[in-house]
Amino acid sequence: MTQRVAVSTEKLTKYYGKSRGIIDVDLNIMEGEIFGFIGPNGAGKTTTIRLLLNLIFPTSGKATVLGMDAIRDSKEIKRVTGYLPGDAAYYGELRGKDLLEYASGFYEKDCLRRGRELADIFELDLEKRIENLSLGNKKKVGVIQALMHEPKLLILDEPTSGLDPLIQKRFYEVILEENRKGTTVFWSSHVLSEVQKMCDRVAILKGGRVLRVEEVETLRSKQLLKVQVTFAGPGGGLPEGLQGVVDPVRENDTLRFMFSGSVDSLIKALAKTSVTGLLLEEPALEEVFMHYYESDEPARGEDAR
Amino acid sequence: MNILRFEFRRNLRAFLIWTAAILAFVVWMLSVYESSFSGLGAGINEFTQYFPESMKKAFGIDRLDLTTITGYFGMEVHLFIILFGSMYSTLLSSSLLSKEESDKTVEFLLSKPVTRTSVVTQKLAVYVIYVTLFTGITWSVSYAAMRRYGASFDEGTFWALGGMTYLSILAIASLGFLGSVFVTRNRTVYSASLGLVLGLYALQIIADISEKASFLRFITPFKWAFPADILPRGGVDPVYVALAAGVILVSVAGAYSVYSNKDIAV
Repeated sequence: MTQRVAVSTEKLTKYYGKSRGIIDVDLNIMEGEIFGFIGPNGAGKTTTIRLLLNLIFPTSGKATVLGMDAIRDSKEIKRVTGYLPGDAAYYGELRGKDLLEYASGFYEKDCLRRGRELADIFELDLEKRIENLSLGNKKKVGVIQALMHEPKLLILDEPTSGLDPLIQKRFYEVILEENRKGTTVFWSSHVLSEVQKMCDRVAILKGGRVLRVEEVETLRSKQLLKVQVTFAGPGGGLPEGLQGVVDPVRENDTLRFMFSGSVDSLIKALAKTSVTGLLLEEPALEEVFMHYYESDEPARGEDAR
Repeated sequence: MNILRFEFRRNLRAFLIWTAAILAFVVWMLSVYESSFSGLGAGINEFTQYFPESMKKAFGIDRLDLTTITGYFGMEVHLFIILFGSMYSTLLSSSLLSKEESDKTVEFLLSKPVTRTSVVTQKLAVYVIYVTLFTGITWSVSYAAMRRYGASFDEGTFWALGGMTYLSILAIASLGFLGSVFVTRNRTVYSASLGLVLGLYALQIIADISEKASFLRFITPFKWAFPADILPRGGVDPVYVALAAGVILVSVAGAYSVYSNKDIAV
């Protein structure tokens, strides 16, 4: 099966007046992939998504979604795309079922059956007015309206915030199920464990730029080790010239650091000193991620804040 | 059509409340005519002679005859219909697009397969339909009440005034619609809409009081449907018809063009 590109951006750039949205974002998301999009608040995740949906217009660059131009073919794109906004409201005075009816009216096929199915899965009471629902239940309304027309591409902006753990688990299952049926998923999040669990590849965004696009596996195993050494006496320390020590923290006789050099060089360096304890760990994605943030150069001054 | 149907239903209650309240007042005012003013004869006109000159001009007292049903309607009832009618219409037209943004429902709406042009068309249709219903109903009920409470009157001119009132309200509402693609915060939209209506009404008064400010008659739709101009003249001024049509077309075209190209702020 040849893989086709589901979402592609070329040098996509957005400024809001003078303030930076995103700069030169290049992405290629393959069909059938679950693609993670992580970065801190204000990194430009939502801006990128809004550009894909033509809620806003790019300053320069272009985006294609499922082979269609994000601006010119926006309506066609939306026929086959489901979007769960990070922070949206859904006409509070309506009952859940009224909203699903309204949403369904935009598509040619009848989506209400699937909508009710999803409401059952997520245990959402469709008779209640949306304004009377809790935050988590409002989120469920968003999830259902994004999924009910069985889209080919799902764009999820912070999808699980506000959902309780049980519903989150069901949400993961539903998304994996959709993915097995062929739906491409674009998953924006700052919950790294979630991205780690769900995604095939991940783009790390900071200051409006894509820092890296990595396989989730690669990112985790990327030569980065979490090291904790306890030296035999207060005089102990790492020999000079050891390459790849990042963020060393000394606490009495104990030194903690991230290590990006080769294990062999570390062992041989430690062999020259007297060591009473040694702990080597594979770091969590969070720590890898923090490491990127702290060691990569900041976003080259374009940040308008 | 989905949005049109949805918004029509959503705005039905407000329409019914406004229309019922204004109708009740109109019918009551016209029923008072029969029991009081029609019998007063020339006495009432003598009385109003002593009003200040500027007041007579501003309300058309100098040119309308309070003892006739049309004069009474033009002076006492029409202002109520056009003023509150444009308030209702502008509050409606200016909320249709802006409310989606300030209530944060726009991300839902615009992630559905619908073009922005179609969104504007359907929202536009909602207020045009409601303004048409509002003017149609108030005017028909006024007509029926005048037939019942008054002597015969020039019906052609009465309907011409109705047509011009309709166009004027539509023009003001369209300005509100255009404004709402720029200003989207709910509270700002409400006050700006009321400010627009009352401001334009103030311009009509100024245009009638002051000779120097009479050019304002080309700016304010309230002047285009001023009974003290239309009733004695026996018809509407075609210049005003053209102006009203122009304002409506330019506002609507502007709304399409801006909304189709703007960044949706949430």
